[in-house]
Amino acid sequence: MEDKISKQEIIILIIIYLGMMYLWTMPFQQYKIPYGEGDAAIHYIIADNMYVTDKPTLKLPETSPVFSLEGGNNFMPGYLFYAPQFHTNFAISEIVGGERVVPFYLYLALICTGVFFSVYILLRKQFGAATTILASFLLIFSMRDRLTYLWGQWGTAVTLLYIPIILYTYYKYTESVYNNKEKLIYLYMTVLLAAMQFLFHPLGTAVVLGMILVYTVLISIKEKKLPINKLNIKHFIIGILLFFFVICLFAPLQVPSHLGRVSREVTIGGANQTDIIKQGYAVGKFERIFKWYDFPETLHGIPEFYFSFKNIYYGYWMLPFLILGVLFLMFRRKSKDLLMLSTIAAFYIGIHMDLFNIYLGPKMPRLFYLESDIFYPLMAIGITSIALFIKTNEKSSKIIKWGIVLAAIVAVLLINAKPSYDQFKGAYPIPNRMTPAQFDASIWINDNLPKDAVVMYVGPPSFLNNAWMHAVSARLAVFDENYGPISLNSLIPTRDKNINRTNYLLMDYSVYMMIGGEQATGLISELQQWEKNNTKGALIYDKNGVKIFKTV
Amino acid sequence: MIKMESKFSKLFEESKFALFVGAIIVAFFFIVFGITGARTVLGFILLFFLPTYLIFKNFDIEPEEKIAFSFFIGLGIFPTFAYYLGLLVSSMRWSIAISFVLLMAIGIAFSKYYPKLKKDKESKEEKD
Repeated sequence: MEDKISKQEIIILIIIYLGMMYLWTMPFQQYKIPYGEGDAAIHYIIADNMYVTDKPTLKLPETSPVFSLEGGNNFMPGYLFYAPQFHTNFAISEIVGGERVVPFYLYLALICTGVFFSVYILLRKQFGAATTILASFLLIFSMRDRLTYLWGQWGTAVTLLYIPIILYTYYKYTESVYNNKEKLIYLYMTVLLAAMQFLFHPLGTAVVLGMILVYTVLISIKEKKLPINKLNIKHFIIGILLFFFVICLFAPLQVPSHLGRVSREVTIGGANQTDIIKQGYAVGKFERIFKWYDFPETLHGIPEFYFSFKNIYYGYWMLPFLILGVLFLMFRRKSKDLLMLSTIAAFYIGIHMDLFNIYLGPKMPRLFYLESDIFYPLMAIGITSIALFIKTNEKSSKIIKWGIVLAAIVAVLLINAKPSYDQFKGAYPIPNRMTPAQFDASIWINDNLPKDAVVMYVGPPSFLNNAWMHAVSARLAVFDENYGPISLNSLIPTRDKNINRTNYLLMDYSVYMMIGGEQATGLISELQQWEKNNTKGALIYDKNGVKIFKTV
Repeated sequence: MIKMESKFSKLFEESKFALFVGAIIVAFFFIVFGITGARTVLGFILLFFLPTYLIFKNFDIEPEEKIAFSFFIGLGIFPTFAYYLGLLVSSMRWSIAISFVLLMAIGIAFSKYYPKLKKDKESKEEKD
């Protein structure tokens, strides 16, 4: 295997990565306005609070009850529920970058695309440059990674970034033990990286632990001895203690809640829930052994299309390479092959725990967020393994291998690239993103209204519109969570528990002015009539279809 | 002497290449996002990578491992300092500056004393 990484390879890698960054940052290149689902708005509120107040967020800022943030940290309600490192990094980026949107999303893009490099580290020395560059290239167009990044499950995105590199350090440690050249630095790196991963989101740590366990079993069978022995067991014990020491030291207020979250996400809450899950997932049924996707939408809230190979991998054209990759590794069974096999084996066991009478919680299908980071490296191994079937000399074999990689890259560009480009280019159009007028008004609120201002929104048509205006204005907002058809009644909040605390009113016409058409014109007239009849305070802001009144 | 010179020139070559790669990356973000993009990426490298790299560069591991571990551990170390110092000094901006100076000082001190300590330990082991 090529051991030395040449300067040319680094340059090629950087060029491919910058291409990836260009693609992934498209949603905020032209239209520099925040976006994402409700989860994204929550993360933005918490991180941005450190930027706008110039103070670390210890207790959560008061937010709309639709976010239900108070119970996030069930150990200390009202306090930050993620380890502070997660949101602090976003705030640091805003402060260093000098503004509130581009640096925030740029940091996010850097972190979410970081899997490109962690997969590179995992594969490069084990499987060579061709396989590694191909695997990293495939990840550029990974729909699962893209959706996690766009939707806002950013904790999961960061946690999966650590999985390949933790597997790598553990592999390097076990290899050093079996070669009688023990390098403890890899064991302690495994521990430190796992601790960092746990701080960002505990789900990934549970997954990587499963993969490490499966790999330990497989490698112990191969080597006919465990990687743990009388000499190094003390380091394993120190490592476990170090892990808990680091996480408790770095996030003392969040660790109990984090451990509770792992428990909540992977277990179920009682007999009643067991029945629902058994019914919903058809768990415990023997035929599930042969099924990979079997998770109806009703239980976990993730759209049905997410559980289909065809939808997620742009048809079935890459499935043969995945199967070939797995078969090749099963046939060869070197240590590095067992490592890669343990990723898919642990994942399979994880999503089929019910067959062992262990019922995981309703959030278990969220494990699929990281499926592609297991599949794409295996596909790359499958594709490059084709070169091994062609018997020729070493030099020709290398040329054939790179030829195959080039052909695969062309196929990916022809098949996978277009839908990826379209999705990034068209991510979160209005009204799922704020209009420029709404954004400007939100910034104005943040700059001009007192900290205790409570602003009622009348007019924004979507939940995301309301959520993001609330996030950017950094003031308590009054709005209802509506997903139904739009009518005048749906645009006026009535259920929000803070409605009586309202001291400012925001009237928004900007979306309808941008969309135009008969329905929009009708809604503008109705809103104008409502404004005439119901607003009594002073008009303090009026710009591009957004008005703000001081009502008290 | 010759050996030292060759080691120095190799280090100089490597640093030049690293700076070249860094410059390409920063220039790319400057072109796409202007000064905000360049500042953010430069800050990302300086704050999350450099202090931990000064520590990990001393260990007997591969160069790409040093870079990767520095980033992945730095992402957790730097915000820890910035956040908790921020609670003490009541300013995120100041706490970021203090954390950077503090971590750089730790990194430089580690770079200076760790090789010496390692050498002393090795020579002691040889004697034993």
